[in-house]
This record gives sequence, structure tokens and C-alpha cells, in this order.
Amino acid sequence: MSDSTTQSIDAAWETLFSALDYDEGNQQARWSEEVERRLKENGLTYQAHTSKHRQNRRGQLDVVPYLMSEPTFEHLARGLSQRMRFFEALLNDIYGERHLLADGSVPADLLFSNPEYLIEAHGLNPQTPWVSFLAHDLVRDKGGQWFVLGQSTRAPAGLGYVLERRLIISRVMGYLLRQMSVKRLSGFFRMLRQFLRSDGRDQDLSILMTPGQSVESYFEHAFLANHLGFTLAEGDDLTVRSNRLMLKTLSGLRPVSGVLRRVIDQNIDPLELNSTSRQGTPGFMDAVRRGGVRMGNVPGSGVIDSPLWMGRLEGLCQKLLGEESILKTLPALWLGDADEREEFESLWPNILVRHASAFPAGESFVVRDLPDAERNILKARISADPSSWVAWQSVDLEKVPVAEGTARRESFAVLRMYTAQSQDQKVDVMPGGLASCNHDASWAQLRPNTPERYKDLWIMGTEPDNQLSMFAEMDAPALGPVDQSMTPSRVADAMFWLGRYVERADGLTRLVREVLAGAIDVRIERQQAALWLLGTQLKIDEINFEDAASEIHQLIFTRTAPGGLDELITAIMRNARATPDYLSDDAWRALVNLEQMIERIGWMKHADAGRLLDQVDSILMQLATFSGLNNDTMSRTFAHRFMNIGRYLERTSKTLTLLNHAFQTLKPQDINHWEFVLEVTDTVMTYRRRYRTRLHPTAILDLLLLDDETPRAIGYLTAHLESLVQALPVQQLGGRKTQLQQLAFRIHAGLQMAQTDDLMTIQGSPKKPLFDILDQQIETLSSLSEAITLAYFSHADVPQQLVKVS
Amino acid sequence: MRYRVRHRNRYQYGQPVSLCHSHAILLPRDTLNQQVLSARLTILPLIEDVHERQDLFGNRVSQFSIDEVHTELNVLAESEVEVRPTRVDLDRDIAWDDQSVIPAKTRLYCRPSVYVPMGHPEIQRFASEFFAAGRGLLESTNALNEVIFHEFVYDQNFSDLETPVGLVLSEKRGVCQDFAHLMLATLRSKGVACRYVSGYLETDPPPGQPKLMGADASHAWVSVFVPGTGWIDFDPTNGLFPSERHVTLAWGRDYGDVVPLKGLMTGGSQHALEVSVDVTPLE
Repeated sequence: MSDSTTQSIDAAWETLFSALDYDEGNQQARWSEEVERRLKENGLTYQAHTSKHRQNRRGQLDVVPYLMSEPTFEHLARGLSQRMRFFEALLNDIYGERHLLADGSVPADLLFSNPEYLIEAHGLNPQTPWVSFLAHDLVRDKGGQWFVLGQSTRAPAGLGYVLERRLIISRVMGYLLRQMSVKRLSGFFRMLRQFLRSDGRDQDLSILMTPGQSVESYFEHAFLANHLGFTLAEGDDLTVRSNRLMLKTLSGLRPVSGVLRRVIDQNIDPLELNSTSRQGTPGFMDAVRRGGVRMGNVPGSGVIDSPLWMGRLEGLCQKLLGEESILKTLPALWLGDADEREEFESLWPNILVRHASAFPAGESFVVRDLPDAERNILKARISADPSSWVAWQSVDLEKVPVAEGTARRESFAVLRMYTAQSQDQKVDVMPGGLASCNHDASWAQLRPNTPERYKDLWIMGTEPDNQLSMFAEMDAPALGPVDQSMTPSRVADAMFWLGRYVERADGLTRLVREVLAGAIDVRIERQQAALWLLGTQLKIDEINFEDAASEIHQLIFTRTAPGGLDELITAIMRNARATPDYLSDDAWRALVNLEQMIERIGWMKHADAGRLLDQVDSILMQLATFSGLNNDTMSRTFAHRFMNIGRYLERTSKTLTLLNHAFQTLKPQDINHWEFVLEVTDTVMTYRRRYRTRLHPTAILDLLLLDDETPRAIGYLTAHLESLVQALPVQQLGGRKTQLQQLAFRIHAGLQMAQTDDLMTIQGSPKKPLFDILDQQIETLSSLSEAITLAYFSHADVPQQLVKVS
Repeated sequence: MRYRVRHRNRYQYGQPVSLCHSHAILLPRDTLNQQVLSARLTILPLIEDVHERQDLFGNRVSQFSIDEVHTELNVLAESEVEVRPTRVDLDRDIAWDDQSVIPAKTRLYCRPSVYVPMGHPEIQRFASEFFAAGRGLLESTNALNEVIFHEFVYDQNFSDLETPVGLVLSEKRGVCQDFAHLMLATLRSKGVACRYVSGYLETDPPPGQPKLMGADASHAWVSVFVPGTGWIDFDPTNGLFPSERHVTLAWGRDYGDVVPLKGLMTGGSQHALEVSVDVTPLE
């Protein structure tokens, strides 16, 4: 390294430290708090994305970045690019001609012990590079020598996190990044967006394939897909027809041209590979084999992730490329080799040991820290199957500073850097990444995936990079407008039900509020009217006070009570999680708050009715916030439209049922009851403003059934339902759209001909035609819901396995 | 001997199936003593586009998918094969622990696999009964083959695909598949390269000879790699060396590599399967 490089990096550290040490180090402490707060805030939102809540799953983010000079980065980048070329050659041989196996350069047991070795990948002959994305872990020892610790094809694992952390750091200490000319990441991400396009055709449909909301990193998949402009898809969203991979969308099956996947090799195709996994798509391997899809990391490429290769990569590089490896790999011993095993024995117990499995799952041991009994168990396991183990002497890692209050202490770091290779084999290295830190040097190199804290990696350019802004890092995909009809059917399905459940929760909460308020009213008529209202919900004609109390109790406190609050919030969250990239951050926050409020009310069994009412009120407000946010911030996509269809269907059906019950059971003089009808539909004010009379059933009917300007009136709802349904994409399956249109038209038109005089007597009693209309509306509504399900969501069938022939 | 083999699979579904992806390993391969004269697959509903490829083991894999609604799937494999007798010379034996000469590619057959897990202490003990120091590979394997044949009960109601080999050993019962897997686990625990062979038996024995076990369905046996000689077949279910009464279909590490018909379908709910196998001599 030249003197000028050393000088410039020293100067950079000085600039950084003087900024951190400002105000006797309080600047560093403040920034740390700020970073921590922002991470937590994000964390709350992100945790909501996965069904399993986990605490502290992500390490802290250090405000002291890992600084790297541009010449050092360029040296590493050259080395990493060479490794991309090398792995390509290695994979071609392993799954192709197998020369390396025949001549012994790759020991048979080393390859066959590798749990990621996929015999089904033989003969795939991909038309694309085997590896499009690769993450490398690198370390530097005290003498400044770089070593590669390992690599992962499960990239872009962590890419979303890299982006998130850089965003936080640049929000908190953005001016420093500018001042120190830190390289931006946006160029690399722009490249990624293009990577699956061979010829830049705009019609190409690229997807990010995710295992779904059961995995912890689901949020990251959604975040990344959104950022790259890829459609987030699960195995069930895809199907293979005539050896082409297709996405099930609202407008039928659409061919997929590129797949970036976070589903591991073994789980990608239940027909050919792991038959117990539900994450894949039957026929996927045949689609790859017959050239129907471009893959980011072809199945089988995971074989290079195993640590078994560690000690052999440099020799293989020389052999395959005829070039000396630019980067050294950590000199590890493979215990399947007799000589290396012997050397291992002589180093015992001052040695680190790792199992063959790829990084996240692989077991690892610091032998000198093990009690005798465990050492013996490990020894026996190694003897039973030596070729599944590697070992190395702990590297004397360089120390890096980490923030500690207003001061700093030392730690050890492993760098994670990312490379991408386009279809025409052009390699790009991300000018940034993450450093994972551990106070123990051995654990830092054994488990870089579970560090105590992370650092942002700053590559300092010699010249200031273009004006850096938050949005510059996040700039919008350089694609044309996304074709809305590409929305996966599953997303539309989930949005539809999200809308229905939110509305249902709204209805229930409103009802509970009115019934509670009525029940504590001193007037006996109010109390009875409250009971009547509850009966409407429960579809019971007569209900006494005791039963009412227990029913209300059920609905708000009992977990898993059918139709209760707990069941509704569970359904809301489940459907929201299925569509993470369609909701805004604020909408997510509203949902998380809602979930917490409902959880809190579960603890209020013994609270008095007044406090309970307050809590119910806040839930209602939170529901309104969520709906309002979606209407304000969500673009008018198909997904959004399905959510509104769900809401309107639910609301229409609720109001129809209420009206039916009211006109069947109430007399004109039941003023208190009629008042509840208006309160539960939130139309008291409208009624007063418009009719300026005391309550009269005919006026109520006019308002709630026929009016087309009041958002809770059937007239208004059906008019909107009709226009929403008419604007849905035309199905390729013939005929169904017509039926849908007819139903939507019928439900709206059925009301337009109605006149109040035909439905009500002058005295305010209902005539028979009223009930005919209500019945017909209810029936049409349920047909409409079924027709939508059939036309747009009917892919829900999950493939099942043929019983095996014995 | 020349045989005609007919292997018929018939699936009947309780509900219509709208999409089905399948892989079949039902067309026999050539071997050193077997020549496939003709082989074809007939699928109903009629499928024109059947794609055939060879897997890593050299087996013939037929791939097809049906995307029309159907309630029944018929897959008929018909072939004519010529099988020549083989003779095993037990005197051309080598020490079983001399495995330094197993070629790299063959070492795949030394590793554990889905149906043949390793490290089972009872199986290791069982293996030590046959593989004592200084004994020959053929000699030991043959003794193992005989013991499974004589001491284990052929019982069609005992096991299914999920039955672990440890249970087959402790209960001493099972079908050809179980015996083959147990034998493989025993051999591999001693580092012997060995593979699972699927195939058929002649349905009706020649006059004067007993009918072999497993003759009405697919059969399975074991092949052992003997350095310097090559692959030698053993049939532990019948306690003999397969010769011209065995028709080889395919081989792999275990059953998982040679499943005759795999499929994933959308719809269908319950389904029933009928299988019939006929192996008739042509001379």
C-alpha cells in the first residue's frame, strides 16, 4: 500500500474522530442514541412483517463506520471479480465434465460430503451464469493481510439490511459522508435492477422468490423487491406450463423471465428436490433445464457455500483460470485428508472447527473453550465422518474501534461484501457493505452472521461523489411504469380480505361502543335498545342483561372467540403480512399500534365500563387512521382497489343486515332503537343536518338505503362497488367478467328504481317490497363476492404429491 | 433370455385434477448383460410431449405434464429386453477393507443417503458380524446376503416407505426395498461402495423352479462395487446372485433416486393407485 493511501486513511479517521469527539464525545453518544432509536422504530415495523416476533434479532448498529480507502477497495474488488469468474468455472466443471473430480483436484469425499451438492443439477447446462449474486466474508489480520473467510450464494441475504443501515447512518450523520466523499450504493442497486434482463426488454417480468412470511428475513425480501422493482412472489404464486415459469396474476398467467430467489436450492422444486417443502413450485427444475427462465443463482450453485472448500480454492483457481488467486482464502484444513487430519491433531485444541453445512446452519466450535466431555464428543463425531469437517487456527484479526458511550473500545470485524454478475458476465462489486463485530476474535470468524454489532462500510473516494441525499440512495427504479395487471392473485386476495376484516373490526368495535354506552345509561329504554342492537349482531331476537354481558365479554376479551376482536386482528395481520410491499410504513405503524391496543384490552377484564369505552374509542380511531392512511398514501393500484372492494362489500352487507333487522322488529315509536341504528352507522349528524326532524323510519330508510352521498348508505356503497368492479382487469378466462359486471350493475341498479313511497307507509311502517329489495340485495352481494373469488383468487389450490409406487 | 415387460400404473382421483407434473423412471437401461431392444411409454390422457433425459446415474427419466382436466392417469411402460446370464466367481475376491482403489465418481455410493442413513450403532454391530479383519469383500457380502434371506421374514404388511432401516433390522422383517436398504446401510457402514437397483423378476418361473419373491411388482436388489472386477449384484430377498431372471430398470444411491413415478398435481383430493407388472419370456 502506498504512503499516500496510508496518509489519506489516517486523515479520514482523524476527520471522523474529531466529529465524534465534539462536545467531549457527547456527539458520539447522541448519534448512537439517534441511530438506536431509528433502528428500533424500523424494527417495530419490520417485526410486524413476520408472524414470529423476535426480540433483539438484529445486532446494534455502530456509529463508527468501517473505513476503507479506494485503492484497498479496488484491490479487493479485483480479487472478488476474479473469484466470480473462478466459481463459474468450478461449477461448470462440478456439474459438467467433472475433470477436477477425476484427476483428484477435488477429492470425491469433499464434494459428496457437501450437503449443498445437488445431483439434480447435473445436466442443467444453464444458459446464464451459475452465480449472479455472491456475498463474501473477508477479514484482515494484524499485518494487514486480507483473507476470504467464505462466500454465500444465498445472496442477496442482507442486501436489504445494508440499504436500511446506510439510510439510517446517512440520516443521522449525512454531512460526514459528504465531507469524506463516501461512495454511494445506488449505482450498484441500479445495476441489480437490470441484471436479469439480457436485452433490456421492458416487458420482462422479474420476480424475487421468497419463502413467505414464515421466515425472519421476509421484511428484507419485501423491502428489496420493492426497491428493485421486482414482484415479490411465493412458490404458490408460480406455476410451470409447457416448461415455462408463470406468475399467477390478476390478468391470468404471465411468463416470468427472471428469478432472484431467497428459497434455497433444495426447496425450489417439490417434484424433483425436497418433496416436503412448500416453498417451491413443481416443475421449476424442468423450466430451468429447458431454458424457460433466467435464474439469479442457478439451483446447485449453493455447493460453493460450504466451508469444506476453504483450503483448496487457491489451488483450484490456479488450475482452472491459470491465474494466481488475487485474494487468499483462510488456510483451513479439510479433515477428510489424512495429512491434513494429522496436522489438525497436532494443533488440537488450539483450533477452530466447522461442520460442512453452509454458514447459517453450520455448527462451529472454539475447541480450547470446550469442557473435556464436549471435546471428546466432538472428536468422536469427527472420527465418524472426518470428511464433513474443516478446521483452522484462529487468525490474529486486526482491531477496529467501536463506540462505547462517549469513548471507544476495540473489537474484531468481519466484512461482508457483495458482487453481482450480469447476464453478459460483467461483474460489479458493491462499494460498501457491512462489517460484523465481535469482542472475541474466534467467534468473529466462526459466526459472522450473529455479531454483537454491525458497522456500515465506507469506501472513501478520492473525489467527492455526487451530491448525496437520502433520496439519491433510494432513487426510484429506472423502469417504466409497472404493469398493474402483474399483481399476483394472492396479493389481491389478501388485500380483499384485509379490507373486509378491517371493516368487520370497525363494525364490531362500533357496536361494542354503542352497546356499552347504552348499558351504562341511566334510562331503561336506552338499556333495552342497547340489548336490541347486540341482538342484531348476534342474530338473536331476545337477549337478557346477563347473556349480553357474557357475549360482550366473549367478543372483546376471549382469545379465539369466533368473530371476536382477537380473531379479527389476527386475520388483519395475517393478510397484511401477505402483502408487505403494498402498505406504507405509516400504515404498518398504525397496524402495529392497533395490534398492541387490542392486546391491551385483553388485560382490562376488570376495568370499569368507562375505561373500557375509552380503550374501544382509541381502537376505533386507530382503525380510522389505518383506512385513512391507505386512502391517502396508497397509489390507486389494483391491490388498493381490491382492498376497497373488500371494505365496501363488508360494509354493505353489515348495513343491509342491520336495516333488515330494524324494519322487521322495530316500530316507528322506538326512538331509542332508531337512534342506535344511526349511531352505529355513524350518521347521526348527517340525519340531523338533512332532515331536521325527530327520528322517523321513512327518513332513516331514505338516508341509509337510497342516498348516494353518505358513505355508509347502501346507495353510495353500491355505486362505488359497481365502478370498482367495472375497472378490474379483464380475465382471459372468457365469460366471467361479464357475470361480474352484471352482478355489480344489478346491485346498484336494483336501488335506483326504488321510491320511498313504494317501500314505506305514510305512518312509517315497512311495506313488503322493502323486504324484497333487501333480500335481493343481500343475495346479489353474496353472489358478487363469490364471483370475485372465482375470477381472481381461485388459484388457492396447493399441489399435492402422488402416493409413491412401491 | 428375452422378455417382454409391461408395467402399468393407474391413478384414479376423487376430484378432477387440473395440472400434474410428473417424472417417470419406467424405461429400462442397458447394462453389461442386458440390452434394451425396445421401450416405450404410453400416457393417458394422451401426452405427446414426453421429454426424456439421462440423470447422473445414467437412468432414463421421462418428464411430462398434463394441463387438461382429468380424473384418471394411466402410465404404461412396455419394453423388450435381452438378458444374458452372469456368473459370479467367488474366488476372485479382494480384502473388504482395501478401498483405496474405488474411483472418485464411484465414491458417491459410499456416502449416506435419504433412505440409507449412517452412524446407526446396531447396524454397525450387525456389519461387524460379516466384515471381520482379513475376510474377502465378496465372501462377507455373500454371507450378509444369505443371512438376510434366511433370517428375515418377507412381510408385505410390516413396512412402508418411512420405515427406518434400524427397525427392519430389529424386527427382522420387511419387503425387498427394506432388505436392499438395510444391506446398503450395512455395507456403507464399512465403507463399501454399493447401490440400489430397481427392476423386475420373471413373473412365472420355468418348470421345476420356485416362484421368486416380489415377482408381481417392481423388485429391488443391491449391487456392490468390487475393485478390479466391477459391480456385482446381490438379491437379499431371494438369497441369490441376480442373473437372467432379473431385469434391471434403474439404479441410484437408494429408492429416492429411482422412484418409478413421481407427480405433483393440483386438485385430485383422494386418489387410488393400481399397479401391475408382467414379465413374460418371449422364447
